[in-house]
Amino acid sequence: MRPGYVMTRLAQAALVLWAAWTLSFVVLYLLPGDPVRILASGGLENPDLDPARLAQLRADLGFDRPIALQYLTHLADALQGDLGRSITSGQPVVEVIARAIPVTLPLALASLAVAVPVALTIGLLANAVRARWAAELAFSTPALIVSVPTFWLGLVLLQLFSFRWHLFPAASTDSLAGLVLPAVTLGLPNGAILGQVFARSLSQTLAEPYVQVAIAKGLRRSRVIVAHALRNALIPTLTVLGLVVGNTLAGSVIVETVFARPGLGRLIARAVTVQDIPVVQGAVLLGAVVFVLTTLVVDLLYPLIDPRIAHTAPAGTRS
Amino acid sequence: MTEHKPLLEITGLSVGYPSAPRPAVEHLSLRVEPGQVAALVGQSGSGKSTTATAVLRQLPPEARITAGAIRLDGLDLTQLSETRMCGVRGKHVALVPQDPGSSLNPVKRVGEQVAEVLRRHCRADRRSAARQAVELLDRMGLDDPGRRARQYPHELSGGMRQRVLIAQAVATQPRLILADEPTSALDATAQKAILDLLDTIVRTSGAGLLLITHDLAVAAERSDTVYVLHAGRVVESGATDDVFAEPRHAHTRELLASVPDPQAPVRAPAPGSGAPLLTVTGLSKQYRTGWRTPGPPAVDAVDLVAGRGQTTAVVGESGSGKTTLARMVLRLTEATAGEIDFAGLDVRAVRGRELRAFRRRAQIVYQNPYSSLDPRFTVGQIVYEPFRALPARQRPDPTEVVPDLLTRVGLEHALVTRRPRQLSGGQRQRVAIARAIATQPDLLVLDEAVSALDVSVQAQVLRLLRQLQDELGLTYLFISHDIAVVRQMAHHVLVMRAGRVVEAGPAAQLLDTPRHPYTRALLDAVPRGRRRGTATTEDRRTPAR
Amino acid sequence: MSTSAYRATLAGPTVRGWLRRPGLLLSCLFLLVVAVAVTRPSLLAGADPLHGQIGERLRGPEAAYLFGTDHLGRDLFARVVHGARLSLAATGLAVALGAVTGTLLGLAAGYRGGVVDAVLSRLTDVLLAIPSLLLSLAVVTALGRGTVNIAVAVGVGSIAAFTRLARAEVLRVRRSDYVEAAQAIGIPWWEVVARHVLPNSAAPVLALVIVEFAMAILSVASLSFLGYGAQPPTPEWGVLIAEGRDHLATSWWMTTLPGLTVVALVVSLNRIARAVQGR
Repeated sequence: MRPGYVMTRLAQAALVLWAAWTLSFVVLYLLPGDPVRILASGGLENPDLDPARLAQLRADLGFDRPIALQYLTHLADALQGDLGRSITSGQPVVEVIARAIPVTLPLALASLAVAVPVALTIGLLANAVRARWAAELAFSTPALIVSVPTFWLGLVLLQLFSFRWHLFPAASTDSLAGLVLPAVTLGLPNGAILGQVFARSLSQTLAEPYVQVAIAKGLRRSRVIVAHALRNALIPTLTVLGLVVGNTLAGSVIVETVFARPGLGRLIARAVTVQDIPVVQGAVLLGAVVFVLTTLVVDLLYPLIDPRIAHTAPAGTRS
Repeated sequence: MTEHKPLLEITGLSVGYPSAPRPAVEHLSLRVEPGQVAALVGQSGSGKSTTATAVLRQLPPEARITAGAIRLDGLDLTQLSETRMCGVRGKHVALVPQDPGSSLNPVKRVGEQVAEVLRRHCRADRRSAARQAVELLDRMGLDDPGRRARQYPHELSGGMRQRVLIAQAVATQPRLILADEPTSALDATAQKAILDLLDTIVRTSGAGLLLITHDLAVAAERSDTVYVLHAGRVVESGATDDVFAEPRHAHTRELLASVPDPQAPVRAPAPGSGAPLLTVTGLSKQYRTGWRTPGPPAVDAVDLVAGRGQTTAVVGESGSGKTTLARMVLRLTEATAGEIDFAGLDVRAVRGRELRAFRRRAQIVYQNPYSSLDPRFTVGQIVYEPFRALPARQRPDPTEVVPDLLTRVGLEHALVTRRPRQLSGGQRQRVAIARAIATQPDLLVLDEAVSALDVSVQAQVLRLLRQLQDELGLTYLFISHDIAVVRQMAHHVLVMRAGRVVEAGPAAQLLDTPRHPYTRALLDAVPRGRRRGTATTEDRRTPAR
Repeated sequence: MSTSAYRATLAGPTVRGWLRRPGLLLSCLFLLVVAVAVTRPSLLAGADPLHGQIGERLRGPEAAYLFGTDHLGRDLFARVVHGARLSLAATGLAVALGAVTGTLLGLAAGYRGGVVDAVLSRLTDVLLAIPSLLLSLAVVTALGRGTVNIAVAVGVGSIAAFTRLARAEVLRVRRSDYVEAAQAIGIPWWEVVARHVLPNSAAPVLALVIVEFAMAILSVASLSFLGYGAQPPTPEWGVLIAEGRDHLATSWWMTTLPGLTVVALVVSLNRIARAVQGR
């Protein structure tokens, strides 16, 4: 891999982050809806606000200045790591987010630990097992899982495993047992999405002429799948894994609400309810950071899996 | 001929698909002797490849062997368990596949892929397998085999990949080699080299070769016995020389009559004026590979003159720039330098309405008759579409022009309501030709227009094209990689290589007394159809070197 | 393809063709029922969705109450049926917004190419870099709560997917030989678009519209569940499931049955989308 390629990808990543930040600024500050009124209301519906106080606040927060100037000031602050202060608590957004990460990170990792084996099972069941019912099951189950609302899946799991069978605690942040149901709720749909892609990609790969040639070489089916098909089938799956990891933060908003876990997702959900603009913007930026980092890692991993990529255009620029 | 047991003996083989009304292969019998080449010849859909996959027991899961036996040295392969079959594949029966581009695993080094067979069947350890793989690549004529073994498939050319695949097939010294269209994806010069290599292997190793091909010339030149397959049945078989000298079955005769004769005299100069219709000077195309970095020129300062009413053929292998040249002439691709003069019109300068008027005078027929017709349109709509470019008042009555055009290209009027997917390849190409001549153009670009067609259909379409040229005085720019076809069509020939014209001249002179070594190599690579002289079996056994 | 199957494709759907695909048949029937629920809810459920009888609180599913009753004694089946209109109106608005904006942007990018394509493609990349739920949440933050607002939020979140697909389809069709052949005959570009490009890209875009509609049902329900959409006592599917949360331990039907309704609808839509794609 050329160092130039890595540098180009890093520059692209930075550009995407800037654009995502800008987009969130446009959405949060330019859409109809008065940010100052939102800020001053403290999350209440139609509070009685003194116009003089509003004007004062407007000036204090710099909202009376031209929009371009506001954008540049905010951007300059953001570049120095200052994302503003939360309206409800008054604490710096960076700190608020940093405090919530240790709760959400184990959930995210555990959900991946659920998703990846689920995906591998689906893919192999669909292709490596000769029985027809196995393939049918492996192709139809993921379609069913992705049709289920995540929050409802969480509630049904709670109902069955906590309230009916008392296998796992309903809400427990510190125990490992308390992590099981949230991780399954978050991981199962992701595993289904990944599994669909992996199964399809594996069955396409198995139809490739080089796989037929490998069989004609007298290799056993297991060896054909492991040595020839798997690595090729992983290439598109890895891209989707990047997307899935990027979406974990969004998924945690729902899962942490259902299971009452005080992590990032819960923080975002509350910030939206009270219209805490700086926190929401911080969350959007964090989502973009996670996404950009994972796709970056995936892109840098590609040449290790697929020797063709090291010689052609960088994967990220192809659309 | 011989009393001993044949190497491969297929008797009464039938293969069917539950969804198809007729079996793909029906009551097929054939034999392959050790040290000999048996050719299985037929057009697409005749059941050739099904036979090969049946021998390897790699038929798709829904296909069924309904009758017959496949005996290898007396052992019936159809009765083996899958596990025992795994021990036969690659060890006793090896496959040389059709498309070297997609038949090697793209993420494994080619050396490993060859070594894999040795480790599977010959109990070789990793190091000795790797060493043997390099030796095999060397024997297959790859330069610098040690380095090649460490490369990935995409770093090799098509011909080199086919050598790797052959190395992989012969590594275990199999008794039988199945070569399924081993050269149809290769350029003519690579094709000849690969066929020579297979010849040598058969002669020196004593393995039997079942050569599956659609190309009668290849079969005639390379095989000892031949089986002609038509609609799943063997319609004729016998010693190759006998069958080709005296074909008995009507289908064989039809196939043979359709094969372009490489020795046939070229076309006599057309009676037309021959005054230049199209003059191209210094035409170039350079693609940019990156931001502002120019790549190598795809077409480099090409000059060309196409005489009115004549066929000017542009010949070259894939990547020679011949198609880009044709597309620039039609303004489907913009040139980067040079001039195009079309009957006094500066083609590179026309815009808007003028450009659309030019387009009606210069038409194109594409290679792929499947993708060049809108799947949603009927034949009538497709053929009438060119008139929609005219203002509404000037459009002719469709009930007059459409039947007339269909008659001209030899299609029944009943087809007018069909859609492309309901037509055969030859019929589609006729529809494409009808659309192209609808506006009475002066110039017709035929971009590999017959290379996707089966040989008998190809001959019919070529006949149609010649007839239309005589009737309508059309000027053809005939793009092709196939010298034998060019011979039947061209009055003038340009040979292109890597974007440049290496030789140009009247067809008779260029094809019979080529001057440039590349032209000679191209001509030499064309299968002669019959071995030079009437070689006896003895002669053929003599090693080449 | 066998002759009979071939005739079948020519003749269009037949009774036997439908019976061979029972999943598709069921999906269409269920969709029909939902359509009735949206247009004439009282035909399906006579009970009052807003007022319950305290004496009938938290009753499980039975003949009189198909889906049981809630903590205020309201008929849950009636609430689900009457909630269809609001839920699906919001979904429809979201998809209309996403599909129209996204497809237009995609058409422009694919057909014009050059700078327009470069700018729009980069913009799509950025939109795809933000998880769509987060983007929707940002829009909700700016616009405030309410059903229309979450519909807009979900619509904004789905623009990028439509843009990308429409662009890819236009490029695919545009590069095909038959479109070039039409141009090579001298047909003006707008006619080429109307006669060849649009009809041939319509099926995948339509399939995506259906799939995105299914996804939008889930997104709208999620945002309502989080409390950003319709407020109780308005019957809306996400709200109904949220109301059941407090009675999870005792009354399983309050979350399970409205949820199953949503699942059934989404599964049906996905099945129909597959049929549209010809699979």
